Amino acid sequence: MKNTRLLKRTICIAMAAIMAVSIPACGKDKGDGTGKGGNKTTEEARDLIEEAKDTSTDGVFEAEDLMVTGFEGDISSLKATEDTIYFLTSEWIEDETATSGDSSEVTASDSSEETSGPVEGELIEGDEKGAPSGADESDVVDEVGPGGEAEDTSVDTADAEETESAENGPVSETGAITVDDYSAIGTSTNRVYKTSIDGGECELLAEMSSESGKELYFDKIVVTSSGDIKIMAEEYTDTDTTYYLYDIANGELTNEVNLNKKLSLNANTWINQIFFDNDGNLIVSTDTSINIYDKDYNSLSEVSSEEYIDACGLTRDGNIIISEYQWDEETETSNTVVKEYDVTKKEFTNEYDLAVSYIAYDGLVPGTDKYLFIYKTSSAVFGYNDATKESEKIIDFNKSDINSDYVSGMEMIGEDKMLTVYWDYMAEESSSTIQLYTKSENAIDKQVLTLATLYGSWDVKQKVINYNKSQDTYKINIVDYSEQDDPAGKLSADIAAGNLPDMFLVENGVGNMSTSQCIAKGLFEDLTPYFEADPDLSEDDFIENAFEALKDGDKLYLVASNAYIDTLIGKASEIGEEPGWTFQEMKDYVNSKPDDCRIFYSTSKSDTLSYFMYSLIFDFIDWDAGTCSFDSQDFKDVLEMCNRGTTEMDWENDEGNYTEMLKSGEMMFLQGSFSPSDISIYDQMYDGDIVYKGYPNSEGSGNYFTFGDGIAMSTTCTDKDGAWQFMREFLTEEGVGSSYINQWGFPIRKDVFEIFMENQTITEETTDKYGNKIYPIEGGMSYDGSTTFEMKPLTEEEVQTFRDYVASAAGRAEYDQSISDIVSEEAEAYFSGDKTVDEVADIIQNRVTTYINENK
Amino acid sequence: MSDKKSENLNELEMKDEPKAVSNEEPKVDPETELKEVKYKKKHYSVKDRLHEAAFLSPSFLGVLTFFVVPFFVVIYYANIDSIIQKNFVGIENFKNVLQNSSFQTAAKNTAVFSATAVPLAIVLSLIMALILEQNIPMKSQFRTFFLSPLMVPVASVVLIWQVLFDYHGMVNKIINVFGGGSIDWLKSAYAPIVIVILFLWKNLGYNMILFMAALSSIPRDVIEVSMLDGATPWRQFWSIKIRYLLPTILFVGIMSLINSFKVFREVYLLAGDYPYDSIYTLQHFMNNTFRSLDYQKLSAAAIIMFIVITVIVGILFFIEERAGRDLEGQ
Repeated sequence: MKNTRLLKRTICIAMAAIMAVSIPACGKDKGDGTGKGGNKTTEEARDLIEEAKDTSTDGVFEAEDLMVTGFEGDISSLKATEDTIYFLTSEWIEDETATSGDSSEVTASDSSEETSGPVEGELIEGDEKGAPSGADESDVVDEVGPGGEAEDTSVDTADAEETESAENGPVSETGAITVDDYSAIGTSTNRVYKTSIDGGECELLAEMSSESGKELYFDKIVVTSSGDIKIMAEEYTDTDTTYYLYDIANGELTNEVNLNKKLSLNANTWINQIFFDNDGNLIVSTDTSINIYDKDYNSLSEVSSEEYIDACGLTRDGNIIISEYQWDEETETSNTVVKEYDVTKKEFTNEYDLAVSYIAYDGLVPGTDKYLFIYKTSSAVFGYNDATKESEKIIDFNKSDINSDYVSGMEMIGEDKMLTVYWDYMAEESSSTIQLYTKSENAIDKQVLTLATLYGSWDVKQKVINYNKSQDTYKINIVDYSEQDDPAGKLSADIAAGNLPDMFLVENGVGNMSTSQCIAKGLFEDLTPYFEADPDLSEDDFIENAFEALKDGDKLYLVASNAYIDTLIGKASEIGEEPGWTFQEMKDYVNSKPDDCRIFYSTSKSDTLSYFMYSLIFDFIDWDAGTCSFDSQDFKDVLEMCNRGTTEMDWENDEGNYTEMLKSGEMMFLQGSFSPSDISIYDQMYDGDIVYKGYPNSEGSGNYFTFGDGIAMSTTCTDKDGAWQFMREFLTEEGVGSSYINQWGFPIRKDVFEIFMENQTITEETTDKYGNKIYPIEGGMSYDGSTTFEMKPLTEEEVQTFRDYVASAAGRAEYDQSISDIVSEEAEAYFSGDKTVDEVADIIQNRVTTYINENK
Repeated sequence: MSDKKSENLNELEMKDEPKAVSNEEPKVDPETELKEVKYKKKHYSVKDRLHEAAFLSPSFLGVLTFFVVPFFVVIYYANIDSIIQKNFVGIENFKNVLQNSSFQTAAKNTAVFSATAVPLAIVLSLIMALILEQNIPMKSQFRTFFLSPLMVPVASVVLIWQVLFDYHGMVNKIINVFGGGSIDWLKSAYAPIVIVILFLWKNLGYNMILFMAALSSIPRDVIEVSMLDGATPWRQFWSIKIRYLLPTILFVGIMSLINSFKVFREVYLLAGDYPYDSIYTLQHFMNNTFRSLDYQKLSAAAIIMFIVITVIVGILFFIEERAGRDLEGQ
């Protein structure tokens, strides 16, 4: 009896204790990518890693160019009916004999939409708000850089003669020229063709030229319910956009309808979709409303949306649907909802929660028999099955080795076939084709390895596709988390569940962890043995300080083919010509300036502090010792420096022209990273009085490397040798040489770097030793619309400047969100005047110490 | 047969009733009673056992799935180096956790908090129960008033507390009126005081109700006899009430102890993942290590906490048992 009682008590104690222990891990629910009620999709339940490892034919399509002949120009959009394909082309023919100011001149905006591909060549990374910070409001008027990295992103094309002419023209005192000087001269021609659904010879339906008077941009084909074709064109001015709709008759555009007048659209309205429904009504979708008009353009219905409308289309049954991006502030997660509009009731009736983050503006089309509607994301095409109330993946772009960044438009021909416009930016001669995707019958018979990425990377994606096509042993499948409502949280959850990919694309760490944390937790395989055993690789092949930054102590956990360097740019006459300085030196300089002088473009104190975060992590934390020194005078100096300006940046009303501010001394620094082609621009901007000083740092070297395409191998990788075969492509001369021209930053292999630097000086179009077409730097760069800076091949002196800049860098930029959050949160009290700098520094020290100790 | 059985059962039920109800000794044949018991035990057939098992299985599976299995998973995690490599490291994680200064801070803070808040929760709620036991006006309203914090959602509680203890909050404004300087209540050494007050505000009402129930179950005759013997209220309290209240005190103690571990929820909402170190508790350590995928640290810390809680609860049970015997001896 006594034993029974004792047993009962023991069990009781144990149960109470277990209940208490069960309290652990009741962490903040940041979502794990599982969506939030409503019409659930299979997306939320799918296991991304397992799906990527699947070798069946599910979602695998084969791409082939549809043989279409007899057309001119690049295909910009298409529409397909049951038996016919209609497509629109555009062609730009430069007039090499014309001079600036010709009547046929097409301004930058006229053809800006022609370039929908990945944009390279951004000068300075923007801040989170996407607003100008440093030089990031740059507007590339024409940048034809070495390797053609920006050839398709340039708005206008300026040949060397024009540049010369511009130089001889109205050059400002600083050498800058006006934006009009870079307006390209030539003729823009658009054509409409039709061809059979199976391809073949096409028939020209109409030809439109910019010489015909109006400066129009033709971008949409509209097929009426009766099968007639209409073309929509846009006319831009500095402030207004006017839309026109045309019929086609006898090879010409007829019956011009000014949509702005007919539909009473505002001058700044942006039409993202225009089409006819099955009843012949015209549907016009803007970014915030859906407007329905009858055949005579009388308004039948108009409905506004509180959220931004991403895409608009019709269901299989002919009902109007829109997709909206939704962001949940509380859980910091996003998803996309498709809403069905009932024209009779004039309200949205059905909602479909798709648990994907984004649908492209042209990515919502009517479904086939099985699906109510079909939608396209950055990694797949899905069909919404209204019978099961679930989305089903139709095409998996990654498994099909199709770079979705090159795909635009979508026309379904049944459930197993799709037509798109495919623009291969990586091809030697960038060109567009109509591609036909058909379901593959062949299961994957290669060893499948997975590569996880949070936000996707079009160049890595292309590298994967090239690798998959180059050999028959391995197939790398990208596991794209970008469509999850909380990508980092979902990847972290997968790691926690032991559901690991074979490789990671390291984008400021992996999931919620920084690179250092990943290494410390044993997530990354030490690649040193693979590197040392590789006969084609040696440390001597790489730029020494860049390779050191890539390593972690003596071990190599990451491979990367290119890097860029974050820096601060200032006036050499004021801050010295040598890179690197201490916090005290910077503080003295900042204090020597009048109070109304900005440190950076943004006047916000918080923004200013955020630019110092890399330095903070480098200088004030010793991870090895597990200590930090946020109560040091150096850190207080940083806070005091940042405590000038305003609480919030008034982006809407701020009229600061930062080119002028830099020149007049009203702004101290530019911050960010830059490419060699930027050197001459910054030189002009600072009138030659320039130094790439770097961030303040106790060691005097505040320029840090960031690796754009860092790849790490998981310690649980199923085939480590196989993974290394892919990863070495990021290190070998052949691998780096074939891809460096399409990447931002510079190659870290010495031999390719030398070629890269050589490319910066060429004056004639050429081909490098890796077979890449290299174009001379030319054109202009505008930052604020009023002044354009000339871009030209680098001089020897400028080449040396860039080399010095690379040589001055040390260490890998690391960003730690938790530390950043603590510092920003506490600094607010100092900036608002509630607390002294000492109080704030002590609190930051206290809280960060806990964080560091926890992670020991 | 059936009649006989019900007769015997009635007799058994009669036995349990207080003697005062019946003046006659129930006449039960000890042999018959023994037989009846034996008969009842025999009645559990295999079929009955299966029925029992079928009814018990949902609860059993629930406990197994949500408590027992995770408990063993925690033990497994505590003995591997990381959830990725899964190498057995024995007690290494326990050593690391015990040497980790954040864990030490968290353990110290949690211990200090529990050692402060739990006795205060017991003493104050007992005092409140004793006051409300008296014939005071608005007794019922006070009882409801003290219970109301239980009905307020945690998020609202935190909002109220932020309004009160923010740097620009009401408490500082009052201090400023009297010429004092503002105090950063949640980011200074004062932070634990705020959390203790919050804990008491939230838990006193419930504890008070438990004590009021216990006070009302103290036999009136014992109190009356002591009054006749000339015992002062003070003497009555210490010699009679406290002894009868001891099991309740222990129960309230255990519940408050467990609740004190749960105060993390409020602290987290008030001060985030990494609060000022004086309110950094074991739950912060566990929550943060969970988020950073340090499951081995989390598990080792959880097991250490389990052992400590088991010892404390064991001690409390031991005290209760001793006190119970003492009470039975009365």
